[in-house]
Amino acid sequence: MSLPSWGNYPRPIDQRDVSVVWRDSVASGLVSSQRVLPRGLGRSYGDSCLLSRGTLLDMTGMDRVIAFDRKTGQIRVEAGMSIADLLELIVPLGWFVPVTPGTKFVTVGGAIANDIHGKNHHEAGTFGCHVRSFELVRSDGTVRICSPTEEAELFTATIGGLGLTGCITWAEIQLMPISSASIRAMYTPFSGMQAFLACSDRSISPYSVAWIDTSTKNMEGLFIEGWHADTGGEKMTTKTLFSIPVMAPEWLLSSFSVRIFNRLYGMLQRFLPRERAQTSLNAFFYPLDAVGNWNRLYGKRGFIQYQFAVPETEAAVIDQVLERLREGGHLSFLTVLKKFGGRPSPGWVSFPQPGLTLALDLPCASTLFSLLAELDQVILKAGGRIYPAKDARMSAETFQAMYPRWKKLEALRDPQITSDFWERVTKQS
Amino acid sequence: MKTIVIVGATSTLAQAFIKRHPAASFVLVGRSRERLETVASDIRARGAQAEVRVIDQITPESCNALLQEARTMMQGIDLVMLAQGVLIDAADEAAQIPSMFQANTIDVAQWMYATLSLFEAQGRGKLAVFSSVAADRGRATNALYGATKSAISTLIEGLRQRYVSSPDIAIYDIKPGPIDTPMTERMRKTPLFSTAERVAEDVDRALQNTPRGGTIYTPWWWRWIMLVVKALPEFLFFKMKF
Repeated sequence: MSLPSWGNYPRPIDQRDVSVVWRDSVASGLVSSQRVLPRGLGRSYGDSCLLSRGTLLDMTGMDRVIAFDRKTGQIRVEAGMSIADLLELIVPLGWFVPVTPGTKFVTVGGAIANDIHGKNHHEAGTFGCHVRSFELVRSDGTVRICSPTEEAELFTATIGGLGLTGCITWAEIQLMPISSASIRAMYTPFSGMQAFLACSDRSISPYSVAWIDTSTKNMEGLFIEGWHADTGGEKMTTKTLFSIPVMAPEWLLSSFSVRIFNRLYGMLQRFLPRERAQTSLNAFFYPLDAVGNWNRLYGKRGFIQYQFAVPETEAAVIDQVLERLREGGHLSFLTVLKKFGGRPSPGWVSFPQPGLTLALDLPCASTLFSLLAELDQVILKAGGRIYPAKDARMSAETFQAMYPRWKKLEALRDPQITSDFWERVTKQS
Repeated sequence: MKTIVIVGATSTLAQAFIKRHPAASFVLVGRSRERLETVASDIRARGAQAEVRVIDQITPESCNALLQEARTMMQGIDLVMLAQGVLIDAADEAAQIPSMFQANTIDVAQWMYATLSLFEAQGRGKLAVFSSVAADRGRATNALYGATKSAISTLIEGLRQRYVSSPDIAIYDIKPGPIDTPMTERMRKTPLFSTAERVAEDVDRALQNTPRGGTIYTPWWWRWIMLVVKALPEFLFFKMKF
């Protein structure tokens, strides 16, 4: 059984894996095969964490702290350490990660390689903005310490570099102080793009995101914002409530059940108080982590997460995408809309850019792919781009037009390292 | 503060156990200084104290000397855990007989005797030794590994009887089922595989709840599986496909 990606689409062919547990064995892992790819927790949805006819280096055994200054919040950890494990250590000591994605089951190495973003992008930028330095081992046996001042090119290439520039062994990041393990959260219902933009512009919260119900014509949604509370909170846990044990049958997530779920969720939220003073970090940042292997709900066919960003002046593109998908009968189980901030992403192939980003979970279906290919062109024309970490299908031409600096990354790629994603999007037409 | 000596501290099981004790004081023993330091810096960052000792030749003298030093340094040793071990493919068995018995049996036995003589001197202590469910019955797929472990389990049983009248000296025979670790990387994973974290949790609980020592199967269901497997007559056992 080869390690799948989170979306279970596509499937790798003839892929093997070997685990790397010690920093002194990374170099031998890199040359263990002609084609290798470092892998974290495999939460990338598409094929950026897959390598057909190659070997994945499973880095999750390299999960130790190397040094932690409890006074300044500077921490150096091995690349395979998950955000979940990191939080268990740092939250009780009054620290938090500067940027967190919607799941805590990602590794620090993966967070750098995909230059991930979170609900605080409008203030904090991407994860890569908070990385002080890291160590990179290349297949030629060299070990490079990279920082903004040392090996600066390789540093830039590796942030958002999809793991292609070498194997990150450790990274040093600057944590953020918090005074409790609680979030003060506010939930504001809205309908329509203009109302969403008004909410975003009015908000002064460090964290904000909107949930929307794609089955509704006028974009019914909930604007969710939060900030770290001064007091309260429980210990951070990584326990899941329950796990989806097997692949669900495909009828489970039909457009009918998705519609019902979203309506019920929307109704429930309207009944709950709009201000919630003591929301746990888990409930605010990682609600889906409570259900282990939730991706299995989509069944064997797998699903596509379609996430793109467009400039704010092109907000109409978002309405257009939602409408086209609704017309085609493709409803998204969980849809998230956010306004990115202006802080530049450090990497050449980093995804976030100023403007709006929409993320949709869409069960794989034969009619979906041609529609998404059309929507890609709408997004491209609007000056937008698609998130590589979540992509399983965009064409090489589209990718190369959206990320013109991909050639700089290709030039610094480790010759032994590649991925199914990279081979797909760098194909010459 | 709990004082713990762990031999084979870089094994996955040892690391999982160590992580559960951020307020303890450790002496970590093994062969690779670099890897021991990696484990030590992790546990130090979590709040524990850790010293690293590298040992190449395991002899009664070297074991005694190291344990004496640890005892002086930490003002007594509460727990000695022996977690080293190797597992090889059945295909290479004949060539590996000396190294397997050396690592899994002879070295472990020497550590056990050295530990118990130190516990006698300090009048108390817990000794936890990693054996395996493979010790309970010889099987075609890992006959040699099972033999090295069953020697250890037999030794533990004998020594437990010897120390039965010393209530403050406890010996634990830990028998995990197969665990998902780098050691078992090439084995096919069945639902019976467990995680190092689960085993570490079970060991902790048993060390707390059974102060007189004993045999710990982990996860718990192995006690009942092995009870049945041990009771199978050979004509049935030989027909089984595991």
